[in-house]
Amino acid sequence: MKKYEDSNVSANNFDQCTKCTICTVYCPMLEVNPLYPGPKQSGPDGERYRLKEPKYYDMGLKYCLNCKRCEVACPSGVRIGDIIALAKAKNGRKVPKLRDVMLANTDFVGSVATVVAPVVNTTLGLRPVKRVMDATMAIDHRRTFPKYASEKFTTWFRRNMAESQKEFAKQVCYFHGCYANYNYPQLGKDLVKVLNAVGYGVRLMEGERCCGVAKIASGLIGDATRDARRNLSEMRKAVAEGMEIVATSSSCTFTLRDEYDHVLGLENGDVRDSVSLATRFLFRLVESGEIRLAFREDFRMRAAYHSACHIEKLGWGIYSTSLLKMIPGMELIMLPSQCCGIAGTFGFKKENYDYSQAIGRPLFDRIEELGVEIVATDCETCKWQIEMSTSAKVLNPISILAEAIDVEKTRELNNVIDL
Amino acid sequence: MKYDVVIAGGGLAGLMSGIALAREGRSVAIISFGDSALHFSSGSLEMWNDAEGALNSVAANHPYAIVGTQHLDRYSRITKDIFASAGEQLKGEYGCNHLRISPVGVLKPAWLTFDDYFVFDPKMTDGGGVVVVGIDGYLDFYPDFIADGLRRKGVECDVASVSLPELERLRESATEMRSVGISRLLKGDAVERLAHQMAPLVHGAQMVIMPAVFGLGDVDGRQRIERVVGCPVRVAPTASISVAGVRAQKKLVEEFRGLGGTYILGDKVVSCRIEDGRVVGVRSHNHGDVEFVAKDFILAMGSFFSRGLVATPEEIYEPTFGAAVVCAEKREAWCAERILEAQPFQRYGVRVDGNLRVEIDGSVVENLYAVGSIVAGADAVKEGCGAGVVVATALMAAEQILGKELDVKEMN
Amino acid sequence: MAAKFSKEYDVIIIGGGATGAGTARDCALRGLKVLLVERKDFATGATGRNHGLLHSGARYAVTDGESAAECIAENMILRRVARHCVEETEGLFITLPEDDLSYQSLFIESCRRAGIKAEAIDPREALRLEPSVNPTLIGAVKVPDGAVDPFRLVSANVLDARLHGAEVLNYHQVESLLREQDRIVGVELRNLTTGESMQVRSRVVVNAAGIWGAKIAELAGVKLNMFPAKGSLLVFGHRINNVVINRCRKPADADILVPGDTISLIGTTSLRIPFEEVDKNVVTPEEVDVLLREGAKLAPTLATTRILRAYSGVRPLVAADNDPSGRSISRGIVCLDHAERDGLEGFVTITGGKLMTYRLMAEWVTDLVCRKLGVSVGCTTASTPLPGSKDVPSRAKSRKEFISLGVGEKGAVGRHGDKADEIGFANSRDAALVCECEQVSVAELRYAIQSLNATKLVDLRRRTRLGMGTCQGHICVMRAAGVLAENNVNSTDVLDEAASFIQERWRGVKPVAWGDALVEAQFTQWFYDGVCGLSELDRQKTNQSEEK
Repeated sequence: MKKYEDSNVSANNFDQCTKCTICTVYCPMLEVNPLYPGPKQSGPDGERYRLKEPKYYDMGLKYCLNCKRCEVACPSGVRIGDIIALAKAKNGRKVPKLRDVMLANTDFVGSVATVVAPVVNTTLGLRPVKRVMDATMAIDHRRTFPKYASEKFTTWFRRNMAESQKEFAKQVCYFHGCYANYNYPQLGKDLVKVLNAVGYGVRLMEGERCCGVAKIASGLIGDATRDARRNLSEMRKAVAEGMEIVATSSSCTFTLRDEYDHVLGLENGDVRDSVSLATRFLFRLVESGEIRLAFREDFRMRAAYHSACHIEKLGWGIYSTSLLKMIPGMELIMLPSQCCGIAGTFGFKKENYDYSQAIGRPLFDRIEELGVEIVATDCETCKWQIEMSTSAKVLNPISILAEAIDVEKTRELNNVIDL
Repeated sequence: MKYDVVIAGGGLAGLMSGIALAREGRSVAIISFGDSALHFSSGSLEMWNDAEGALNSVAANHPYAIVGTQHLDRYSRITKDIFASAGEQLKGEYGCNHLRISPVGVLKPAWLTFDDYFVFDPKMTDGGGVVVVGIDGYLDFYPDFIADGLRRKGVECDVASVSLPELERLRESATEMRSVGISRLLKGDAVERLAHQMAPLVHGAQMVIMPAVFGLGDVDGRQRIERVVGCPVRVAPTASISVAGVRAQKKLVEEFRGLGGTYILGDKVVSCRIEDGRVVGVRSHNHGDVEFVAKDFILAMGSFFSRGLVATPEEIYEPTFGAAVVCAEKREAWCAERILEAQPFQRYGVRVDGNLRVEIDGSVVENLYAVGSIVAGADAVKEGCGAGVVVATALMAAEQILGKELDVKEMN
Repeated sequence: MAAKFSKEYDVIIIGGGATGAGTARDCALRGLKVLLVERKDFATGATGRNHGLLHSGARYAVTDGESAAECIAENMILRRVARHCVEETEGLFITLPEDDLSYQSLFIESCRRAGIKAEAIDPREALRLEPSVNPTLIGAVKVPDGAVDPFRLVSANVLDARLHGAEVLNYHQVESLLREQDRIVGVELRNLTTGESMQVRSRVVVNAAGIWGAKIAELAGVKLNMFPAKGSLLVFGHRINNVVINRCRKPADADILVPGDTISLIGTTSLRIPFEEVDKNVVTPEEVDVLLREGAKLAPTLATTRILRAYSGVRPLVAADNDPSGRSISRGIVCLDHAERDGLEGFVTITGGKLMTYRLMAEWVTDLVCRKLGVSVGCTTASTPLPGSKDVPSRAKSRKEFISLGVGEKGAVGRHGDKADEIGFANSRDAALVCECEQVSVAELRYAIQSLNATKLVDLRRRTRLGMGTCQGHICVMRAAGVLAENNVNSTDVLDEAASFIQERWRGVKPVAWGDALVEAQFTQWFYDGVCGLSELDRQKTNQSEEK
């Protein structure tokens, strides 16, 4: 059947906007910041004028969080967030601020920081240093910086695991992203533990680059494109070897699958379906009966699940929550789906701090009200924001699984022989 | 992923079916492509556009005829009950329409109306003045038009305007003083200050009418204003986004989820697998090779607006399942000369059998039901039957799947 | 009884299109006492119903060198005097594989002869210049085409005429011409809003009524040999191209794609129609199909782009007096002194021509009027900028300043040039957008109501761009009605106008009502009739008057 809606598309469907204004109802930035022109005006409305002449660009677009909640709400399939991201890239600040470049280059900064992690962590935590950063770089002093690990995940992996992983009959490629590599290698280790238990060996890509989500948000499209090309070529190699690519970060997953095509204009259709969130990968195997999970009998946890914006856009929260619900000792409470306010690097910028906290406030209040110790979420920046703004500890669902599974029993169930 | 029932479309139709089924213990997933037309609710559900609203006979191909008009009273009660469980009281009942007021002051027959909305009472003509209070600088509410409409009915009517600094702040953006933004700010102290500003302006009035901007800030905002101004405060619909619609959508989704339902937003069914005349699974855009498997399926995608139907220069088709469509063949016949007269395209939709099942490739699919405005045969605008058809078909489909009639809970 | 109009004018100009407005301005600039009358609103005829192409003249170069030379001269003038109405886009004449490439050299040669800079460029260069152009092209010629906004152009001419003392009456229909022996001495007008009639005297009456000029001539008892030719166009949802794209071949259907403001336009068809159909403006499905099929050859993306609406205009073609059949139609300017031609004094006709040559037409007829009145002031319209193009808008002297403006101010500066200085955005209430698609603010509407003779909702559309965007008035009509109501217009009348406004939009949408246009139409009917009950308003008003 010939489908009109597949062929009749303008760039990111901006022409398909019926001006219904539903998007404005669900924009978290509009709720707290009247200086933001809103998704409709910033997106499809503004685009028609920007096509006439770029000088119709509105500087207020910088407030867009790129949370994509407008896209999820749109009944006409208009990719409002993508339109805005592209407009920012084309028309925004030509020379980005040093701060924005630093925040966006999560991989570069991370690789330097991990080497001197104890110093960096201490320094970034010191009040005078925060004041200086606030004054010189406009990184808000009230912000808690994510800690850098002293050993990168990749270093640990290559040193301790790379060889043993090759022994597994089934292999999967792990896109660890900057966060697991530099800030929280434990997440990568947790994934390896879970995957190994169900009989999958883990491989890494050669020279994985940052997925680019932060660079796209800061309008550094050239840098993002360069990294993306490299990642795509590595992803193609993995797919050619018959591997799926899994990630533990919802934002990385979303960027690799959708933003490469929609925002960077890179053809990724050949590998898109092979990129998955680790929880989705596991869920599919469990559901099809290919793998089975056994859990520790003594595991008890009361946790609340926060649906990060990009997981909401992917629609994949259901995989993470379904897996968590399989754990017998788990009491899982769903938090209302809303943006936590951090939006990647957005909340780090001094001028955005108050908006960022105001957006997240109802979520923080709800978490405190529930009195949960653990919040589960698939996004690392949500983790920073929630841990900074509430008393809860935030874990990726994969880390919770890693803690909850009975490794020995799981290996038995899946006939994983001792290596 | 396995469910008892998968519903494509998460507007009023999908939610009514979904809630009715989930109440009976069925596991249900709703896949919704964006938010629904409920966001433009007039504040009323309409059953039939005449003074009474009771239906004795309709055209044979009208959805009401398929549902059976004898069931409408029951469905009406169930609808009120479902809304009430979700936390939204509706006033009115089957067979006796009341008059709601439109954003431009036209009185229109309505069947069920949100509790806080204005409905016309003939006694108002000798009960003293009504004051329509607008919000300064808010362009989607028209106190003058509403006042003129009531004056035409012989009601003494005045207009007034109020403002608050926090509402003025919305104007810092040239576009974003919208109903929803105003509604969110009407909380705490702001409500009191607004009320005290209104009090002298509405002194001695029998009723105050305000724009429908309550419900996303403090839930009791309107009642608190009533206490200060000393007379009933009712709301009238605004243009553009309907706060009551947003509120209702949110509550119905919460109700559905509370019953164990899975509500997936921002995704759509892109293909289906049919075996032996039954749909066995559907795939969605976001979930790719993870199929949604179910015993029964419901098509509740809405009409053209929600992309449940698609028109090309050559044809009109149903893109989700490829179901057979009832429509005129040539595009010249789809539209009428005047936008405000009956438009043939409003009646177009999928063909259903006596059990609301759709037809694909010439044969009826045993377990795929169509509900809501995608069902052919009704003109929601001219017959004023939009919501009526939606809830009647949605509840009937649920009954078909359950194989029994839904219980009616008697409410006080 | 006809109310007497006390004033007496030097000249009354009938017709508020570009020619009439331009003539009113020219006459006023030369010190004449002017009355401009229009039965509807300004620019409602052929003026507002064409491509909005700032012709380089290249299109006529091969077939009509004289018109081509006039076009290029006027083109250069308008770039100077009507800067705020013009977009200097450049134009391409492309040769496709199915066309004869040898036509290109004849074309370039003819352009040169007419004084039009025409330069053959490499097809790859053409693609770089305009990425939407059909990539299979085998030849391309660059010419100085552009885009001109006819509504803005007419509005600026009317405004300048008024600033120089002219009086202006829209919604006034000419009922008859006042005749004393062999001389026309004035007109009898009917105010179409109030129904009142009045007589106005003048020393000369100029018939600048376009295709309706034939009727005016009849009122004077003279015959004009005119042939209405309908041309239809399609408007697309956004700008597809930034350079005008033409086919390099003999002029045919749908061979010009023009970007204008936020949209692109493909046209036209050409069809002789009987006089009875002049006011109908119906675009047929066959015309739509031809426009789409041929248009997609210029820019293939056109086939998959949302169509906003279709419309048609009627060209006033004039046959030579010795050719009653109309076989040898000229597109040139026809300026007739009926004293010479028909022995009728005080009556002149200006017709034929095209939007591009409106200023020249105005100059010719004003010269004629001046000769008759013994006035010897020369024409200055070729060098005097129109209001809006006189200066740089003070709030947007640089690009940086422009970018920093609010969205409504940007819209206003873009449309009104330096006259935007008169539009106040001081308070946030006025800065609010009424029309979100086309960035029209409360302040801009108020300016149009107070300074640009806009009295009805549909006038506001032509003065600004209210309701011309993607939603075709769905969001803005009620808001604009609210603003108009604040300016002391009765609310039920305003609601009637709102209904007329959306009906007028619908007339253009209906021929292309599929895809997103049908989605929008369903949404529009739901809101205006379903939610608002606009169609019941009439019934309820009638009931009320019966009750009284």
